[in-house]
Amino acid sequence: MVLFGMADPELDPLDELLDALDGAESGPLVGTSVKLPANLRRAAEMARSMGLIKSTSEVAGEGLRDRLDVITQRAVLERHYRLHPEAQPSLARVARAYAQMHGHPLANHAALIAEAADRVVKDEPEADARDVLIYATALQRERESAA
Amino acid sequence: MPRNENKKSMLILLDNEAVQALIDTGHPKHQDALAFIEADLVGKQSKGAVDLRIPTAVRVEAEWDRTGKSVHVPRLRFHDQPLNAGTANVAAQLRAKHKVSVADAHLGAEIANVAPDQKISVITSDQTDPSSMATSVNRSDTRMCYL
Repeated sequence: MVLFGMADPELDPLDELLDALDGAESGPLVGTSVKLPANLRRAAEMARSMGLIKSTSEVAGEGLRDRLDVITQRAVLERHYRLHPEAQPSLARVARAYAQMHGHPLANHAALIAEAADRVVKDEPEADARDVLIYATALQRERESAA
Repeated sequence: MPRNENKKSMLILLDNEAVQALIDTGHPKHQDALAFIEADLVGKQSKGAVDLRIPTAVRVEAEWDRTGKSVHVPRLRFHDQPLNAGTANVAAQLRAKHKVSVADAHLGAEIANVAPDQKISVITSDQTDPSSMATSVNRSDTRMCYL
């Protein structure tokens, strides 16, 4: 197992960001000035008055936290792949994982998903798991109608 | 009373083997486990409503100390799902009834704790225990995502 290998010789700014995020749920609240489109602010006020949200600040904080979670998770993965390129899963494997997590009907059709992934990236190099599953669904329907 | 706007529409829990596969670059399913993290990011970007959590007893069994910093262990962003008094009671019942590990019992208790209208998935390579936990707590609709 490669669990506790050598420590990072220098503190990576990403680690500092992760440390800050780990503590993001605690500590005092501070006021901050955020510029919002006037209509967005008005919509938020309406949502609050309807009881749909507790406060604009709370929702804005949650949104910021969720967005930072996604961005940092991506950065952590990219750093891991730079150190361990062999660890990066294929698009097909990610698409299958997405299908499993979301109960997609093709979740158990690994070969079809792999074929779709191979074909879809030829047209769209930036394709993601959802694109692959749409392509795989189309492939399956095409074959069913041809049969 | 505001509605529970904090609740995500899908909860994803990881079991012991999934966590071990994630944190060990030498694990044969390391790449498969990372595929689920990638798929989670795709889901968050499109739906923004996925909550990825690790029951703390699972993290203990997998021996993952998140304060230990190694360049080889990806510092992935997860929320811990700690045992509280209520879930500890359910976990104790599950362990007594099914003779499963503490980690699996905690996993089962967290499945039981999920709101009826919230979808739930478990990432695992164990074909038996997580599924029997879900059935035992009347959440046989839990999706099992096998590595």
